[in-house]
Amino acid sequence: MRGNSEGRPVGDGRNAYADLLARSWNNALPMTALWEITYACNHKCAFCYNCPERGRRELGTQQIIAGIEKLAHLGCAFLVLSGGEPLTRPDFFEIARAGKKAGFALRIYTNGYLVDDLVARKIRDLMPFEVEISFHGANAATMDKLTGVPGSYDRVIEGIKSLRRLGVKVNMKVPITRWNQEELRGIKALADSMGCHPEFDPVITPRDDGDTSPLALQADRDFLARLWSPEFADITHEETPTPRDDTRVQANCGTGRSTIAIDPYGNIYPCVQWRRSAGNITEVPDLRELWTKSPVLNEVRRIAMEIPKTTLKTCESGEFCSFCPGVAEVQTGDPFNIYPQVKANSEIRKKAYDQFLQIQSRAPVAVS
Amino acid sequence: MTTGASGGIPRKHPHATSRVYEGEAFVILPETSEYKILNGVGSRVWELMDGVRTLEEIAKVVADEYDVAFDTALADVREFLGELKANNMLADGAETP
Repeated sequence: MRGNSEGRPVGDGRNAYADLLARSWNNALPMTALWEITYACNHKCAFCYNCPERGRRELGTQQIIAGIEKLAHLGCAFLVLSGGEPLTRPDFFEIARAGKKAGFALRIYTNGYLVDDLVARKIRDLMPFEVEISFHGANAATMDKLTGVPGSYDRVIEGIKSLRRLGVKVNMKVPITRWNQEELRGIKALADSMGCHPEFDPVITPRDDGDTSPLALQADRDFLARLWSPEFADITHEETPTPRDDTRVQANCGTGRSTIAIDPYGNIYPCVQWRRSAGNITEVPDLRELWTKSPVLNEVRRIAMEIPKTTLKTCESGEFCSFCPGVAEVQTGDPFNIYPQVKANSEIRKKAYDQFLQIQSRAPVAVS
Repeated sequence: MTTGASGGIPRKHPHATSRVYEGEAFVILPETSEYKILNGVGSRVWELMDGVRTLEEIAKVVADEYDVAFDTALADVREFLGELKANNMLADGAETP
């Protein structure tokens, strides 16, 4: 039983998982399948990136279940059920149970609006690895404005509480926008009061059809400078941004390497952000063969390996760049192009890091 | 010896899910939101824990496949099951072997 990197048969904790994730990026090990099972949604979020195809029929229950079995055969460990709003599908729990039966660890991405005590119990019975609920403000005015649905704040909070009463782990995913940027601590306090973990994300992306209007909601540049400073270390969980370390992970990201994404029509993508179709899950008999032989997936993998050596090297703040080739392609037409918001964000992060280093170099050294 | 269930059949935690990557089992425990990664031999034992094989049957396979004495394999598998028990990866009611 001896012989793993820790000298014990069971490795756990952050190091073992981080090592596996790094290997999945480097060696294209499929870990996560994210399935947008519907584009239907009961919110109208101002920054939504979904682009439903008018008149096109979404996959039926048995088509999705057959696809789930193919994803299990591919070897993915996590099945993320997303949307739109996945709970709007009447067959959601049938699909989710199929995912459990296929041996997946389930992640459910929902806006929480439809979660009442009954739905919470059904979710609890699935024993999901996590439920991620989108959350947008520390008060109803802000949240309801962003979701476009009056009463969403109160409904979602009640949904979260229903899940938490049953011991279901809830992560609150908080996109940071100019509308909620001054409410992050209020949101964190709310999350803490409900026993939830908040994850704050300053990245707003264009719509999948290239429409850049959601970018108008990005947080202010001045606020982002504060966000990446020690002032918000309790929100970002880091005193300062840190530069990329390419010694361990060579690929820019896990697109087509650790992830695979499916849309409501069965189209297969390397990730949720990069909409280059590698085929349709209803037509592909064996995803393992697709995974290794697809020219689309192999091309995006090649691009992801090239980006740290090209795009990120040509940008002065490339070491701090959370670059997404999918966003680059939909916004500029070229997956290697630095796009304005990632350049701005990386410059802010580099400046914050440089300032942090200056402060550290002036700090008195403790004498024992 | 009972380990995870009756009749000496080691049983995985019912909510644990797992996949194998490069010969190592990646085990996910949703109740505690934890990940566990098993080394090569541990992954093989985990695979053999099918709810039907007894501890001795698993040890026999390990002894054959890894070319070790049965008693050595049995002791190692028992020790490994103890590790699984300590990491909440066995079904409820398991006794320490």
